[in-house]
Amino acid sequence: MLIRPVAEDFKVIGFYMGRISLVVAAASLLPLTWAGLAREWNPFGSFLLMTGVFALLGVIGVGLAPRKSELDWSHGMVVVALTWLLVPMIGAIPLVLSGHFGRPLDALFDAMSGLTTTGLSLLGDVDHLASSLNFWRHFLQFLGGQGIILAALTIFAGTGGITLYIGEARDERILPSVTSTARFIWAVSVVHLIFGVTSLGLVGWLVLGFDLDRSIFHGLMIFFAGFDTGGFAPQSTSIGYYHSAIFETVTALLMVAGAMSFGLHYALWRGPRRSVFANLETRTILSTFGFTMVLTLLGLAATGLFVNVAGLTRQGLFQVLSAHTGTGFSTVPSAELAKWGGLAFGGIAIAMALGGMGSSTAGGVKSLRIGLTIKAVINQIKQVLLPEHALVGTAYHQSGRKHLTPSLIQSVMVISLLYVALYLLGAGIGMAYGIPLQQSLFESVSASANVGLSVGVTDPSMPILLELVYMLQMWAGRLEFVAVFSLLGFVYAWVRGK
Amino acid sequence: MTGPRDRRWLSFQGLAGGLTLFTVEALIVLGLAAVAWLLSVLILAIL
Repeated sequence: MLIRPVAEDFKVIGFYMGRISLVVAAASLLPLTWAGLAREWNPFGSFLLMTGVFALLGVIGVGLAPRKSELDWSHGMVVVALTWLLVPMIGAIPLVLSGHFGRPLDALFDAMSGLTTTGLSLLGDVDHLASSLNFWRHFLQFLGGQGIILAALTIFAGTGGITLYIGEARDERILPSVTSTARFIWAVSVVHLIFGVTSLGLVGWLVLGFDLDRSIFHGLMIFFAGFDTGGFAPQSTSIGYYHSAIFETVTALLMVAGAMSFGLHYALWRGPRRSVFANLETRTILSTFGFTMVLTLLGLAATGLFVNVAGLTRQGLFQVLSAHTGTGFSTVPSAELAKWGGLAFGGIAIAMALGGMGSSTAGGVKSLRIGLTIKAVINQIKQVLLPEHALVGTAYHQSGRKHLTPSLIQSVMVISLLYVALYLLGAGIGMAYGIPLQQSLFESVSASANVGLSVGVTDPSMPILLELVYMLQMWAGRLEFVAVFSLLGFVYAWVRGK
Repeated sequence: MTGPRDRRWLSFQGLAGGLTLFTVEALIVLGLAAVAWLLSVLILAIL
């Protein structure tokens, strides 16, 4: 029998959501300041409104003051799921008021795509968007990639932090406490911010001939969207706009860094560095990268689109890296990507579906789950082939020696199957609207795995139901289902519980 | 509460570690590019 939530449950949830709203209100001061400095007064007004709404909700939430401020498992999951709905809704206010979207739902779509670090966009004219609004779109990706909850945890340490941390699809505590882990994650981001923006800015300034302020602006935007595997870009032609191999290389570095688990960052930072290459997750992602790379290059070579080694390598490598890391940057337009077809199309779609590493900003099934699934299948085959009493080894290396237990296999299989179901959901709805299977599946995988590569299905004229389904896919895919199911369970208990 | 281990991130040693991290990532990208280049040469030669 389900127990109906009481007023105290709502107070606890409201209290923590209030705290998080206050953190987002504080973060919203950045685009507000940007708009003020750039003298963009219309966006300034809409940012002021958005910041006010976040602050008001924060004050109301914190004012609820529950008797016990301890957060249990279900409350934490509900807080995470609701936060990831609330922030895009309020965060869409400046986008709605910008006049760049055909309907308010499209602005909400972009805010959800930004926060979940997906990168699909319904923005009509990105090339003429006010710089503060462009900053807000990219900053949303940074907020979502770093984790809104993580930001709140850094400021408000306390009981229940681990629940929120895990709810936001992170399961790796690098340092003993969640707060110190959160601070380490911020340290990694600051390092990449400094080196990434400097490198991209220098390339823009010295190689591309941009003004210094324009170089820094583009460097900052590409850093936000690249390191957090988001995929928004300040120009409609994405990274293709820069026509620069060196710019693409620095961007690729940020994408790879973003798709690495923070545990791997820690090992590379503090050592021992060689042990990371023994990890099952590292070996899996290198293998799947090689596999999807071969498929894509074979497909591209077969179509005859690229006849020289340099062109084939550059286009194939960038698109596969973008897909596998879940970023969504591209150097080819959507219309051209749709023409790739065959093996190249399959290679990119598989790379998107597999995704990056766990506890990173990348989406998709994630490499560790793929590695564990392959190991479980191999073990099953061995058990069938070997004599009845033979023991099959279950050990694997992942930051130390671990064992593949039946409960671990079950958990890995359930999440992996849910991802497959999510991929098929969007593909099915797309096909019902007459979109061909290949394109429908590609776009659905792109939305669910929070990638953002598009073959043109995501368009301001797309059906509203498909738009809503993609938003659901982005939300559920980013949170890796657990928090979403907890919210559904909570609502069900509220309606049907006793 | 942060201990001496956490505060070390802000020190010179911490920043040097960060630079090492960035350099290793650059090497990984260059390694992947080299693999892609070799694959492209092989594939174009075969096809």
